[in-house]
Amino acid sequence: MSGHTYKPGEIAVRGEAIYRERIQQLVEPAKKGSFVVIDVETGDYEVDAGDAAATRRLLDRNPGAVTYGIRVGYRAAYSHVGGFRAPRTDD
Amino acid sequence: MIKGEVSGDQQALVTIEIIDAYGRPCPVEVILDTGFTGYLTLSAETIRQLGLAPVGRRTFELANGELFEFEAYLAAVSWHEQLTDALVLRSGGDPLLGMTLLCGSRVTLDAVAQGEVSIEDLESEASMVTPDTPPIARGRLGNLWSSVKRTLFAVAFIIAFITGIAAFAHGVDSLPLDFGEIITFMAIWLALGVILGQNKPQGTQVVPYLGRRIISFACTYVAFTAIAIVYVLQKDGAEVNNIALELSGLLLLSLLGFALGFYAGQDKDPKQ
Repeated sequence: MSGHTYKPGEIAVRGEAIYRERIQQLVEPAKKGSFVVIDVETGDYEVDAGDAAATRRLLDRNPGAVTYGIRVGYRAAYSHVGGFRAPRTDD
Repeated sequence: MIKGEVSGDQQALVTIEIIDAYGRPCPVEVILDTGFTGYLTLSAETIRQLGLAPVGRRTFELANGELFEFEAYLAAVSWHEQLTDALVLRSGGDPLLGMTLLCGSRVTLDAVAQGEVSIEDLESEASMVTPDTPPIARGRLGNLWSSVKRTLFAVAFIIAFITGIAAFAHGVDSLPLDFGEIITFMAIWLALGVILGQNKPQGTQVVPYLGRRIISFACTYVAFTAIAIVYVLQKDGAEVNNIALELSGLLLLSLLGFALGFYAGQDKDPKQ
């Protein structure tokens, strides 16, 4: 995807829209925890337990694709869990 | 086994090898971070030095629930003596190695300064890869196109194979090869095609992506030209001697075997 001209946030917006419209009903809830990697230009996608494997297959099919990855059933593809955070005042 | 050391400021450090854009393994020191759910994070500078190609973006949720979008890259990493694909996030912080890469390994560390850190392969034992998520599902269009291509290829192969056999049978009296030898011959070329055409992580393929496609199509093209020549010669009633038929048949069989193997070896998930 060298030289793509997407503004910050645009790839995510496109990817999320494609996911909601065409993919979500096919993969939720059965594939919770799997990765859906979407080519935001063609709408092609791959599903796999691993992001890298899905991305690799999608790039093999559509070289130069601009991809967006979603982890089925999660807010974000990745997270930093168990991080230290300040307790809420009502705790 | 991957070895590392706990640093003076209590970080568990290991050095892994990441394959750069020229296919060379480059050592990169990363911090083990079991709180990070992904594969790797690297700095912009390291990504630039490795020449990794960007593949899009991924969202990342911080501990406080904030979402951030990160530039993503695909890299081949030398992991337990094998190359595996890893999705790399470009971060402003320290380089991290997360749980997705660690899955399937036993990690031990002596949590003292200069203490030993080791990552062992648990491949033979139960893997942590979620069993309820069957791999390989494709976009409908991609799946269809892939099936059409394979079907066409299989039909072309069968036609060509029968034609090749017919070419042999034509001059069977003086042929030095029998059917068994033809099958062996085919199998060798098929195996060669599969080996050379196989998908492996970027930077380690025997023949790169474009080369594989070109070879596959070129072999098919030349093979069909050979069929056409044999047919035209026979149709014109020209004297086609056994040697010419045999050579055409051999050429056709070898090229098609090779092309088929080359094609069949592709589209494999390198992680499986």
